[in-house]
Amino acid sequence: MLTLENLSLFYEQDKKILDCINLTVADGECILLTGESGSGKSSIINSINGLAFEYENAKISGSLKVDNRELKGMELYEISLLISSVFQNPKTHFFNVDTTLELLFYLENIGLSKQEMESRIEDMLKLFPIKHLLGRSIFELSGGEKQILCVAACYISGCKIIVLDEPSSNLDDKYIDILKEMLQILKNKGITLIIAEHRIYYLTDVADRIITVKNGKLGVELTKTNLLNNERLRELGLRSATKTDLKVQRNSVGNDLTVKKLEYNFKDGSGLKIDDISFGLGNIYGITGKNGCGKSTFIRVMTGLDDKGKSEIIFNGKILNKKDRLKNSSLVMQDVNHQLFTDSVEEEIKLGVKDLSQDRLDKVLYGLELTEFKDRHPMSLSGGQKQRVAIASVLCKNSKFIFFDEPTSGMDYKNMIRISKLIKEMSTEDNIIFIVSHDIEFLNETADSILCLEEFTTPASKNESNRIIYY
Amino acid sequence: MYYINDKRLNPNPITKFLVVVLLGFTVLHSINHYLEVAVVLTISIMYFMNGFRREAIKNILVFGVLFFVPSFSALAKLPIFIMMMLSLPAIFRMFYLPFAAGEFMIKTSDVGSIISSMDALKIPKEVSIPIAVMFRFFPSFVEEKNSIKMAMKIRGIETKNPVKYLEYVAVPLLIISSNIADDISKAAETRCIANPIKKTRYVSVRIHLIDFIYAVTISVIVAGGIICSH
Repeated sequence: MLTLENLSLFYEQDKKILDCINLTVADGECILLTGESGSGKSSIINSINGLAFEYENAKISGSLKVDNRELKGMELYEISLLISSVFQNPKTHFFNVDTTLELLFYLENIGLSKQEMESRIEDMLKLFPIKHLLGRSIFELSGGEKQILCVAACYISGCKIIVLDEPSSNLDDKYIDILKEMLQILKNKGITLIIAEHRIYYLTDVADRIITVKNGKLGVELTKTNLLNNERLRELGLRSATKTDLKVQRNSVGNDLTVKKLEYNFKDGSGLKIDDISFGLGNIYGITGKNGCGKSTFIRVMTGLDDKGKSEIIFNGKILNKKDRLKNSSLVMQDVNHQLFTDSVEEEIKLGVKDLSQDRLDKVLYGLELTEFKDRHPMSLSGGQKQRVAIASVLCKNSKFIFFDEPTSGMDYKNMIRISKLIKEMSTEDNIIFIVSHDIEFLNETADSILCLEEFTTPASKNESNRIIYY
Repeated sequence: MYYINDKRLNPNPITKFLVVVLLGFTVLHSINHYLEVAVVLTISIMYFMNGFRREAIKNILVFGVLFFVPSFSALAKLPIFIMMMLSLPAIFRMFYLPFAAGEFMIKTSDVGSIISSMDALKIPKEVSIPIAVMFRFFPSFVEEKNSIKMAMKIRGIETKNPVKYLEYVAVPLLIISSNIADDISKAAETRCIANPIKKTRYVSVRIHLIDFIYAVTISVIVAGGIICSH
């Protein structure tokens, strides 16, 4: 049994993140904590697994107990013997480069014998068919594959409690279904699950209790009737409780930019092959497809960043070579930390842009609510603000082709709507916007037309049949 | 054992480290050019046997180019302008052999075997864990660095001026490095790496025939080279 009693969490002196949390979780129960970004749901998870004090210098009052053993003051490894964690970004999860060694690493550290390790792996493989993921380099795996491996690693560890911090935020539909299935299996095995998530549709069957978190406090418990009321959910900043279907038309409209040919071969033998697709100025296109089908590759080839694939792309009757494409494209990356280079927001926006008038700059800053941060260091801003700085620099570059790579990953409803509005405002008769995303709600809200890349992939010779049976 | 790639062709980290140290001597006492070629080929063959084909070829190509860079004594006789141009490649050439061996060590050693080989040498945990984290840092770093390069390219940032380049690349690289370091240590700590009990290893670090072949080949080349040059 896990009990939180009057748990409060502070950063520095007076910044209270959690306020008197009282929660008792019975063995084998599945609790879903939900609320908008910054509500404190992740902080509850990080207090339970101990990362909040160790890595974020947070202070704590109240108590945190597992079967009457106080977690407060324990070393991280002692807590990790009782509680396993799955993080939002599976990148964070791996210490080894080889996947099998990663699964075994915890078992080695708790001193199990080789036979015991083998039997645990066999046992896990009976539950989760992921044999094809063993013995591979983590850098080859897609985000979805990494995340299911993380969940499998938690099971192998034998911990009776697993905490998960927004595990679905980087996953596509298919992997969300797999994740749901895995969580159900873990629950059936009597493992206690505590999940922080604002995307709740896939968990409504698994969770025993759905509790809202707001301003660092536990709020109302959601009942099944609440869940069906989308208005009520929106008020709480939550995404839909039912799976949304893609409502945007598939047929591409316009004929300004034509991809005559785009061919790219992946390492595993599969490939991407596109013939004759046209895009029109003034439109927003959503690019979808399962994890690992080549969405990032599509961006790299279209922007001219990748020089390996074959491509023939025509804009207004003229062939665009890679250099032309690079000059006419802008990209907002998924991790915006990669694309902020200077020491002030203003400099950042001016960088690489010729003939930018102060007037235009001020207008863009104002439109994105960045005026007050003009002289701040971009890296000192919050995640959402950084993303807006990246968008501002894209706006000033005035590119013909604008690409977004997963702009809403991990965003709650309010922020998602905000970015959707921003992108729609960016669209003019003089540009084409491409959004790579698996966030259906967001695409319904934003895109004019959808291109599903899965329809253009050529399968790998022999592995594909296995992939359908396995996860 | 069937889920683990075969390790019999991969020398253990201690051997690889010894070879790096051994090749360090060649920086002080340069050895015959043909022997240098032999060292580079040995490393490429090792890469190749472990399935790192691209690295094997890259290693030979890079050395092939550096091979034509004159040594410092020859450089001193050239006009000052050419001397300035070539002095950086010349320094790189001096350090290439230990560098290549070091790269081979980093690219082909997994964290588990590094920790267990340090355990075998009775190196305390306070030293071995940070070293293991350091090793794990490189592959992540390379991945992130490529993303930054991509972002620079699309922003149209000129990369020809090395000072400016460093200025631009430094900010995201530092921030991201600290994020990676945090991520890796979180992953390690939540996996009980600091657990003080006696740990077990699924793949024990043994000395195979390949360790002897690799160490002896390089020793013979280096020793031969140093003796011949006297």
